[in-house]
Amino acid sequence: MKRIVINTEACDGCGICQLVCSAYKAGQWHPALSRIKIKPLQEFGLNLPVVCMHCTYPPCEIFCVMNLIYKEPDTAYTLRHEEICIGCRACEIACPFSAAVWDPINEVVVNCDLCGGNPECVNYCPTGALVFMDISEAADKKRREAAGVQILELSRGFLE
Amino acid sequence: MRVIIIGNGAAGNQAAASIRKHSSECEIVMFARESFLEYSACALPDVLAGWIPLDKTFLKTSIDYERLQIKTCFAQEVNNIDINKQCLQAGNEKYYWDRLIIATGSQPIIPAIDGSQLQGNFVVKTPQDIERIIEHKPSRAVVVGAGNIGVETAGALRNRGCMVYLIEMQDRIMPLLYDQKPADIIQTMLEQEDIRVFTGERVTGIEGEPGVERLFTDQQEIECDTVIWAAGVRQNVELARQAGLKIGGLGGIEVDKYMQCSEPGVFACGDCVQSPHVFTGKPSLSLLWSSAKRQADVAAANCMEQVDEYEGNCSVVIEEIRGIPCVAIGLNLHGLVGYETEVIENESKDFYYRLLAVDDRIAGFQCIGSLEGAGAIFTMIKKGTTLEQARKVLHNKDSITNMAWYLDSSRYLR
Amino acid sequence: MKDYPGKILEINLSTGSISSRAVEIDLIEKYLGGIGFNARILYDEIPAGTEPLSEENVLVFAAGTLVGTPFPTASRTEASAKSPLTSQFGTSNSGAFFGIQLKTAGYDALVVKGKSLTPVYVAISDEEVQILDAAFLWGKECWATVDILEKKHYGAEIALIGPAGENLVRFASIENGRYDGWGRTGLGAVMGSKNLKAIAVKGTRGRKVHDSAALLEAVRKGQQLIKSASSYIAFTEYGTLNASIPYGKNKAISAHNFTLGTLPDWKEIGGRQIVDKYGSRHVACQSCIIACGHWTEIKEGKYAGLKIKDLEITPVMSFGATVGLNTEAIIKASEICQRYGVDMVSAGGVLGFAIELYKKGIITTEEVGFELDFGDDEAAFKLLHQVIDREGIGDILAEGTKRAAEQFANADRYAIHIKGMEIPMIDPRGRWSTWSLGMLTNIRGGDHLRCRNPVENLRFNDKDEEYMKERFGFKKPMYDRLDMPEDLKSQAIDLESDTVDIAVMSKWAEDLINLYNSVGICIRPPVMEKVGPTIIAEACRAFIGVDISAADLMKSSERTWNLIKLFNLREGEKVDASKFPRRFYEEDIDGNILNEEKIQAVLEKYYLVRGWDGRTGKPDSNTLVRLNLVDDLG
Ligand SMILES: Cc1cc2nc3c(=O)[nH]c(=O)nc-3n(C[C@H](O)[C@H](O)[C@H](O)COP(=O)(O)OP(=O)(O)OC[C@H]3O[C@@H](n4cnc5c(N)ncnc54)[C@H](O)[C@@H]3O)c2cc1C
Ligand code: SF4
Repeated sequence: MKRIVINTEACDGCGICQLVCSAYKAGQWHPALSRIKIKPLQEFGLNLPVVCMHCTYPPCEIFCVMNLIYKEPDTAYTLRHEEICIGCRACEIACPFSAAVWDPINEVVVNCDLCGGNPECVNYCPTGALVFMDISEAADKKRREAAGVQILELSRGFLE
Repeated sequence: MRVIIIGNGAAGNQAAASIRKHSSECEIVMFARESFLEYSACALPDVLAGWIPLDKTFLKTSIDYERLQIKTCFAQEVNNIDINKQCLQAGNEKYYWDRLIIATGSQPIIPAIDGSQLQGNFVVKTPQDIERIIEHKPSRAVVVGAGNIGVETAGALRNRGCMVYLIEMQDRIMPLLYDQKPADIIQTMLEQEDIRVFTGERVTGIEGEPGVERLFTDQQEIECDTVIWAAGVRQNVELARQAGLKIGGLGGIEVDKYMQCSEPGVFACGDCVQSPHVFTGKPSLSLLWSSAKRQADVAAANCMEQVDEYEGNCSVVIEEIRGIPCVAIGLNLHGLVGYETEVIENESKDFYYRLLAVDDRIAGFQCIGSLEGAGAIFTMIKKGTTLEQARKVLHNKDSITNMAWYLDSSRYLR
Repeated sequence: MKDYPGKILEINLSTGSISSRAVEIDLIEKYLGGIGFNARILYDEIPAGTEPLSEENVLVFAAGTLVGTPFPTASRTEASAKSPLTSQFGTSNSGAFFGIQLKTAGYDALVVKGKSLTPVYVAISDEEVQILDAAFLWGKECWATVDILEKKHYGAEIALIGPAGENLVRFASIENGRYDGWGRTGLGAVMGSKNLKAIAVKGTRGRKVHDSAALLEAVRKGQQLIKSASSYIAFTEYGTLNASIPYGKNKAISAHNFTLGTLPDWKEIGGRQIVDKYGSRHVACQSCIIACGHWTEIKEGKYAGLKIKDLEITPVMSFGATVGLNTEAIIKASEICQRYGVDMVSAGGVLGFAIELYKKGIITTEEVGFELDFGDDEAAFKLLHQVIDREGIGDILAEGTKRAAEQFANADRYAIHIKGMEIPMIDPRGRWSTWSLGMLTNIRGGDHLRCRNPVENLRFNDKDEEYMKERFGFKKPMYDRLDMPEDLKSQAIDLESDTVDIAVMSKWAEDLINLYNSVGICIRPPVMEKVGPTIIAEACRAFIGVDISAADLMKSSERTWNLIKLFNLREGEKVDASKFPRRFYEEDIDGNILNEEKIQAVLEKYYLVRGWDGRTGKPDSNTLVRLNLVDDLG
């Protein structure tokens, strides 16, 4: 199963992914519309990219009052029928990663759809902080698991 | 195997879909008192406001039920269930089950006061209710009860151009969700929308001929042509009670963490049950869409011999007023009566938040002006994270790299 | 695109009025953005002879045209005002994230006029613009101020001044968040004179891309170009420090106030290996694929615990070479500059100047209050704090070397400045190049950042007797790939003799860098080597939908440069001001010395290349007509 794997160590905070994403997905350069977000943490000189983890049991799906979030059967991507969205924003709160993103222009919530299997943010990432790869091969799988276990407790596996 | 589901609401449908995921063979039969297809009650205020068309609230077409191989028995009230015989009666027919899921939901309460049956009294629960209200062409409306549904309905009517009064018996609006200060802020926001809000007033009677003309509270008389009742709901537990299933002190069906009722093979989920609160562990009513779905998932899994446990209730309610998002998560001071509660709050021009903690564990969060970081806080409440643990993560480089999602909460925790 | 979505926000601190106006497409076509806007606005709005620290001065911040797009390195914002240091066009460029916030708030430029009676700061959140009381921030150092304002204005980027700006130190900087800044020309004092402590800007809006597929294609090409630059890898690893050792070798660093040419342990102090020792992660500005900055931490010793974004060549040269400090003290010095808001180059220059005066006996222990020496960090920092606080002799030094030199007998020779601005790091006696000539022709005075041969080869240091040429030093493919009109290229670079014509290349280089400062991209060598007007034009067309060619861009940039020159002439710039400090013509370092007449000849050639009068250095009327400046300025 291929996912965006994040190597935080490599991220230098250039924010290109955010602009590329918003340009691709919304025809705008608009960091707020980007499905991927870079969170700067100056204290440690870190930049933390966050993006939809395509949880196995997505809490956003449970919270959607219009039942428009679904797992794509073949790829297990978490996708949405955006046209049905009434903009209640419940999924935004359900998602711990802030990966359900409020689009103030269309008044709907969106999340990363991995560009159908060819994520553009990854294509433009200059540092290799974002890699699109099979998660079972991910170098920092252990770390992701450690992170995952904690979240797992509360609403079953967010992370594979 | 045959599973019978009573209820065509959020819980019933989620249970059905979930069972289908576990098994493609299992026979699913669904009963509903009403005849309509699955709809989202949460979208009804938006319809009333005129933001979305009514048909958008329907979540399924009849084909969807067929696709999921759900046998529908709509417009059929279940009159009786016999747990020993594993059999229920609807009309004159008898239906046998291997597993039963009760998802009978809840009903808005219209109290028996003078004039509450007059024409012009409404509730907001089904698409039909909305159609009726719109047909009635309200111009001066009183919404009774300032819970989240009352507030949303008031906003919707205002958006239709009605003169709107919002009456709340308690001393503040959304008393179960917000504490005084944030409730006051939200009240001001509503008043800026020209909604007249009166708290601490009890509705005593309604008059009019032939329909509603006046409403009386213990303090004033309001001229109006419409009264909307949003003053609480009653769980539909009569069937369960009569079948001998245990009913809890809060009026909901008692279930264990597997969503199983006091009799094996019978499960219940949604508005009709009471479950432990994730924070206090005490019985509570959730009355939320998300809880209904999650409980239904658990019920479905266990009913299919898979193990899944319900984590407990934790409410999340979002309102958007004048384009400003407001959110209440977990418990407020009212819900934490008897606990020694630490309050962390901050107010600036367009932004207010308060974080409640008991024994350093985050118990509740109320925020006006932004939803950023609310997801992280919600997750922490569910996990039972303490402020200390959260701060530790935020101040440790390795932990924060591994748990980047904490970061958004730092605004409230530092 | 008919309606360009950007606006210019104007704030008048005297009247408290706040207004915004649409950016007209004509302004973009003629001046692009960034420094182009600033030039036009300052030329129009600052009356000749305005006192820089008076309320008539106008301070403009303009984000480059491409800022906000993912075009590589498009992050930069130009700040300009009449300079308190040079009394001419004062301008400085900074990256990081201020520009994108300004743009996403809906503004291409922010114009600050007037003067508040009490300390204030400006908070911008999309359309909502407020002038707020800053009494509680006044006197606070920058990092503390940023901490406070970041809490108050969540997610905002902050431009601010430190105590130096408040105290009207003439080379005070405007800091851009914690670690970046608009350093040169004393803009911080302008902000201070307006009683403006900070500008916090947060944007939540976006802008329509005219053709997003085409823009992303241009971005992809731009990234590929930069990655293929010969200096790319070196820069991603070591950033600007790459240049420090070659210049040391050539005896061309500002060692001990430009008296030594190099230092014996220069390699240890300022070599690339200090990145390995003190640096950790790289830090990028918005949209950058180079990320030349490093997070730096000193783990032990007297400055243990110091964390900063640093290890750039500027502090290394200013404090390591000019003042003679060791590496850890250099890092400490950057911290002081960032926290108290002073320009590192001028600060280093002023300290070097003072130490030399002291050593020459022109100022005494009594006047200073303690002893001074090159390499003595504690004394240097004590003095720097006196400058920041304008205490004792610091009050005189805070006026900059040129003005300070007037206060002491025979001090003039030690004041290393051009047109009033302290010159940075490189000593043209050790290495003569396009870069060196650029210090004379720079429209902002003694500074190295507005003219550099895009394909400079630091491995060579051929000294042309006539000062007309520098060694090209690359093979033909490099020549072929250089994005420059062919006829001009053949004039600028002669492959046969392997030389670059300095006068011709200077004009091109200045216009190119000025173009970068207009569209908001960075001048790091990998960019300069590869990103020419062709790809920039492609990105501009895709982004704003105006039909603009590479030649149009270069012409706009040239227009801006000329307009700034006109501004300076209006302010009374004299032709003989374009001169190096006397020391460079009169004192040699290991036989290296400059010849004034020969350099004058190069300068005159440059004027002619620019279409300026060879004798007076003024743009001639044909040039003004060609650049439509005559019509424009009426
Ligand atoms: C106006 C409004 C706005 C709301 N907004 C939100 C919101 O923003 N967020 C949120 O989380 N929640 C919201 N809710 C609450 C949410 O809609 C409910 O929690 C949810 O619908 C509960 O679903 P349920 O399936 O448990 O019950 P119900 O939807 O009440 O379904 C009960 C079903 O059982 C059937 N039934 C009952 N008794 C019998 C019987 N004897 N025989 C046969 N069938 C029977 C009924 O026909 C019905 O189909 C809102 C509710 C309302 C009314
Ligand atoms: S909860 Fe968040 S991370 Fe998980 S699938 Fe939904 S949007 Fe993605």
